[in-house]
Amino acid sequence: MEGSLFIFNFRCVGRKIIYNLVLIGIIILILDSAIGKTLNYFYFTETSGVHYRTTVSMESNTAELLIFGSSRANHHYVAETLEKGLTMDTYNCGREGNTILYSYAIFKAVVKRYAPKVLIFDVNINELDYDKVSYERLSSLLPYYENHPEIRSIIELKGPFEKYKLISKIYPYNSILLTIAVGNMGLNMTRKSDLKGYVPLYDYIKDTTLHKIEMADGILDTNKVNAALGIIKYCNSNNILLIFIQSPLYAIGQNTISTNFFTKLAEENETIFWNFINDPDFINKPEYFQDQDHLNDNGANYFSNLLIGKITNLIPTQK
Amino acid sequence: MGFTSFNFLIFFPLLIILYYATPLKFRWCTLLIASYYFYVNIKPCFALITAGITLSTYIFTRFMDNTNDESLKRKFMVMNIILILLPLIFFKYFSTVNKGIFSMLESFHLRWALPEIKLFLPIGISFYTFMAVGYTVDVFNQEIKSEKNIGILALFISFFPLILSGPIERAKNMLPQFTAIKGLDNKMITKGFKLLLWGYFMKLVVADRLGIYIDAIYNNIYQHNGTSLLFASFLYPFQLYADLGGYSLIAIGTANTLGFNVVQNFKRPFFSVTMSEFWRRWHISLISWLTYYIFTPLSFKYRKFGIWGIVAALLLTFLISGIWHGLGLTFVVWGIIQGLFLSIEALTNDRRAIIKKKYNLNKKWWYILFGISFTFILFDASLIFGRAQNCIDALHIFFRIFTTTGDLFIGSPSTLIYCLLGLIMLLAKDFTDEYIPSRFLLFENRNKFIRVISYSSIIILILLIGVFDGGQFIYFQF
Repeated sequence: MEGSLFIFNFRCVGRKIIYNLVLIGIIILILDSAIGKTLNYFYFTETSGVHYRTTVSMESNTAELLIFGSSRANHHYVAETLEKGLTMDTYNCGREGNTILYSYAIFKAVVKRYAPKVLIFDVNINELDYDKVSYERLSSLLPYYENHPEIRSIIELKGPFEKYKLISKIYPYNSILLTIAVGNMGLNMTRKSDLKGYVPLYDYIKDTTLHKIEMADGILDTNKVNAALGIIKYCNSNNILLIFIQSPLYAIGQNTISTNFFTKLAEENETIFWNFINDPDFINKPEYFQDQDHLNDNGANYFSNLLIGKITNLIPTQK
Repeated sequence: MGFTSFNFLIFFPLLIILYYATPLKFRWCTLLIASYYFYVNIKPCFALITAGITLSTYIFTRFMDNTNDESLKRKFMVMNIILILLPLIFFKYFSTVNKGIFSMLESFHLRWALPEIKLFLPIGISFYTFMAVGYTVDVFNQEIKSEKNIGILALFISFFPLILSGPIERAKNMLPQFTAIKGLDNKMITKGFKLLLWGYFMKLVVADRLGIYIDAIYNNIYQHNGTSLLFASFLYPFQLYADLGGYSLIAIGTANTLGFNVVQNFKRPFFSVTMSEFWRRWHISLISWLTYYIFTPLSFKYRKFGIWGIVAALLLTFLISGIWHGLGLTFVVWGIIQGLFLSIEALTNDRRAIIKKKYNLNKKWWYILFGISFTFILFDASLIFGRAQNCIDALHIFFRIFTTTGDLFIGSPSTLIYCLLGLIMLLAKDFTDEYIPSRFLLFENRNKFIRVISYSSIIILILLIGVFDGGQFIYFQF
């Protein structure tokens, strides 16, 4: 065969390889489909845990007041406290490790179903900075890709080949097999209770020294900015009270490009922005914090009660 | 584009089709274009460095072959080696030297704060530089003739399965294969796919998963107790093995699929009974290169000092190995520690051999178990310097391990469970390959049904618990 101009040696070798590859491919397709569908079923039958809360946020809750954001949203806003104080059904849609891109997806799924009255978006001090990890964290939305066309464009921001990867039925459930099992067994309720989406923290910060947050200059992420502007535009057009909040930190913070962006929008009356970084009500009270970034349950209740007064003043003007 | 990116999963099958569709005598061209395309997709300007090294090596080795004057040959060799090493030294050590100069200027209040220039290290530069240096020396020693076809030489230096992270191949193994490319070989292709599959398992399921847990501890060493630091330190060698070993298998498997034999890079290193055996099983291509081009010439040069000459050669070789990994003091310390271990073994070799023979220790299971455990502990302890950010952190880790205890950091229980599952599978396979190689065969089973189910199961396992996001290959820094 050396020096030959044959394209493929189909007569013997190539045909055998292709046959074996096709055989393995078929088996994988069958297994992938069977396992993927099983995981899909059990994912949506979870009765507790982070997946359950995301599913409730997107598909079933009809609360009038919703809170969006990352772990700081999830641990800082006590839904029951806000509900009693504002006499509004409340649900906390915050999720650990996620950013405004995730929140925007939940928002889109919510407003497709009904019109809430008040939305709170908790934003971090570098919320709008470009950060590769923010896109990787969109994995948490993969199980919803098939049934929620309104969020597909957000999920596809994860990467150019995402829709091709989703041909695999297992792929959306990568690395969450055990979490699905635990969610179906209700074990999360004993490990971490969930009160209308709010997850309380009970520890106290060990290092009570106030540190200064050193932030390098970031770059505004176009996708995140567009998400923020998209939320603002929709809420303004549909008379939904929208509030962006930077909730307290146990640290000395500084203004960042993200903070300045929200401040500017608030000054131009596009939206409301409340910044609690360096707020004296919190910065001198380590007993309210579990760690530098998160309030504990005491702090969260204090913060939620503080917000009730501020939000109450806004509601009549919105009506 | 790395091996674990989705782009590669598109690139490689297309390349295989194109490669085998190309007539035999032009397949090296297809590979050369594909190799440069692969590298250009990482960063285009890095390919210029590779091309520059290729051109320099070609010119100087051709000069060497066309002259009979030994001193002129030596000059050409030295000039080429200096030219080849310059980009490596510049890119790798620019930041470290800069920081050192800045610190010195700051201490005298002479630093003028100007925007810093950030340089990105060309990926794989350490590997292909070593290959080019090895080729130059081989031509000088007349082990091989200089390659007349610059395209073939360019292919050797830029061969995409090897360029990112090795194995570091020798020209006398690869050049004949490139000049006499063979036709489709079923056994080779099948072997290649098996290696690819297991390589992806090691990298995505074991290494990247362990990395998530270990990073959570090692990136916050002052917040963790000794128990957690000890556990993370215990796991780190396995992460490194699965990472580099897995990547090597993917590289070798890729080369096999294209019909090329490449040197094995890892051979179940955690079953070594001594450190010298460990270094015959760990990163074999690097150690072979260092042994052939550094250790052997040095030990020959110092032969009049007897065993102490060998000790000096060992220490210098591993010092160079440490510096190759990085100019930071931690790598230098790590290299010196490895040199010390091997030096002690060399100095006590005769006595240990007498005792082993007298009591027939090599066949005693408890001796083998003790040897394996002790070797692992030595390597693991030295790796704390390899993993820590600096020597102070490394010493802090040792201090905390010996002075503080507490609850083990779990973080995400599922992460730890997946880590242990992957690790047990990896060690179980290595154990059976080491001690009972003809039993519990899965990929090599005679029954086709078992083989096919094994391949499918591994792929499904990768889909279920492989880490697809953010997994960074440790050796990209070298």
